[in-house]
Amino acid sequence: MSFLGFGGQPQLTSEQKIQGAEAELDLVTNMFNKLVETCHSKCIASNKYTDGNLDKTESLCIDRCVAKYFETNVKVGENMQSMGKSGALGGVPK
Amino acid sequence: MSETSSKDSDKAGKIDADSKKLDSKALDSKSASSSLNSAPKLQEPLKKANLGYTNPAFEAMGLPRLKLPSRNWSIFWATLSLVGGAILYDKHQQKKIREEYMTKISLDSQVGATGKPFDIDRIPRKLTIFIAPPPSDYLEESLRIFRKYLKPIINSAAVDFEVFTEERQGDIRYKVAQDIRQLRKEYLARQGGNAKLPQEKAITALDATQKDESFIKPTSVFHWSDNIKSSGPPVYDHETLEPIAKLSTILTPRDLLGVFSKKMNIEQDVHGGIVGEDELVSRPQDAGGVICIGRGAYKEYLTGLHEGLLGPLEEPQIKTTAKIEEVPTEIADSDIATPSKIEKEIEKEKNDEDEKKISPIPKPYITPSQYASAELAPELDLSVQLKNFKNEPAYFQQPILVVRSYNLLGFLNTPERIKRFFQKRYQTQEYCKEISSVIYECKRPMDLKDVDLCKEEETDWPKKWVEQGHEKQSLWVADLNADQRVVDHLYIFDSEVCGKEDKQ
Repeated sequence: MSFLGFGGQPQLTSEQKIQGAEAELDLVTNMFNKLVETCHSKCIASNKYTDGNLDKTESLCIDRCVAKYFETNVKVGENMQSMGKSGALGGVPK
Repeated sequence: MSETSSKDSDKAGKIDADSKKLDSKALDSKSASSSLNSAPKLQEPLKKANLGYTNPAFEAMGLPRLKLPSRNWSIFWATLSLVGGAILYDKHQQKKIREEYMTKISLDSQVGATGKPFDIDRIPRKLTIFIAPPPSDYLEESLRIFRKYLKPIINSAAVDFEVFTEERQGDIRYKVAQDIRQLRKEYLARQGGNAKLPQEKAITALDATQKDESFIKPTSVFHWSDNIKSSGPPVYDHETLEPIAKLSTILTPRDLLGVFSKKMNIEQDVHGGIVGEDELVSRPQDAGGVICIGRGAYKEYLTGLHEGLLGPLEEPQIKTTAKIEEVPTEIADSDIATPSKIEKEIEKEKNDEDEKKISPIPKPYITPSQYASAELAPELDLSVQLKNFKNEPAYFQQPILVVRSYNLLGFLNTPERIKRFFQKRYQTQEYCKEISSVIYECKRPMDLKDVDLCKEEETDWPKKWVEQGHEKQSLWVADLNADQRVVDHLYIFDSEVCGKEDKQ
């Protein structure tokens, strides 16, 4: 990446771009699957499918669960980023 | 040799004779004693037989005899079972009470298996909960009240909630005041620059997203973390040389995920997007609710409410001197508001800020003595439901429930603490009753007398802590002042209201 904003956008080959996109997609898919699994087991499976429709408790539970998951994800991501920058994770500081 | 040996044998014979004599004497004494206490000697085998039960097989295996515990052991077991039983009974009763309320409430609020399905375009009612740590104890104690007694019932009614916890004294006061000031500023801006009402604003925002769909040009890779990253330089389209809007600004996850991605016009189907149940009420006091856990939290909440509604919009710096000059009669009452002191405090605060990274909680913008002379939020019309720019209803218009904390500290209070520990079922009953008044919306207009709600709790506060509080001019130990104009707009959850209706 550019240092202090100089040098503009780095030139990437199309292969690198595709690789990046694939990694990004993997990340999103993985996160989404985990989210669905967690919230399903917490809100729906524990309720033993008593009804065909989502009832109020389940709706609220899913709402809260997803919000919490995203918030945690963002917080952890931010923290990891700052840790990565400071080199606390053992990586080479940029 | 033989002579010596015979002598030796003689000696030996003498010693033998002596020992025999002694033996016979001992035997005599023994027989005498046995003849004197002949009765116990007879009973001894009988007693042994009565001492517990055994079986020849057990005896052969070396197992001890089964027998009744001794006096000391009996006392030990009796005490243990008594205390243990009391704890278990109390816990069992607590559970029973809680479950009773939970089933009743979940049936009444039509949730669970018997309830009707919940529309996807609705957000349930939302409570705002303020939790303050009890005096010289940890926040965990107050959180436990919430988790153990209130949360199960709130969940069983499928009511949403948001918890605000206090780290330092004044957090709640500042948050409430700041929220109200923010809302006042928003309304002021709307009045000034012909901005639209929040409802209209939300709809136009929706329209904008729907119109923008035709302009989406997904030429760049969509980064899921776009909303986290700070906005970089704008990206330009190669053909038209117009800046491309970031996907994250146009699309929300809802547009791409699940049922929404297949059915893009779902927003239109549910006429105007997602609506909270709190927005559908006719009067502002019918929505949501506020719960203060502990007398201290209530004090801070009410003070914050007054500060936000009656206080100035901007933090008064040295201007406070001018304000106080306007109301000279009040100076005598309040020793806090003298200008020199405030200036000193401001200086102190500035010094503190340099020293510590954690900035102190700002001082109140208004003191209770100035309430009477202040104007009640001219920007706001308190008779209608107020909403912020996110279209969330303002919580300070909603009814209040104050829940008492039974936390007690101190060695000398041990008897009272033990009593409370073994009678937690009565506390559970009380908490359940109070929280069900929130669920069933049993409310009445607030009275000036209601500033004393849960005042009994203050007698539990440690005396040393209260003294310290007086020295530091803490809000918790000061008298709670309320202004009639503010109180007129407030409501209190009261379980007795519903009780009366039932009787009629």
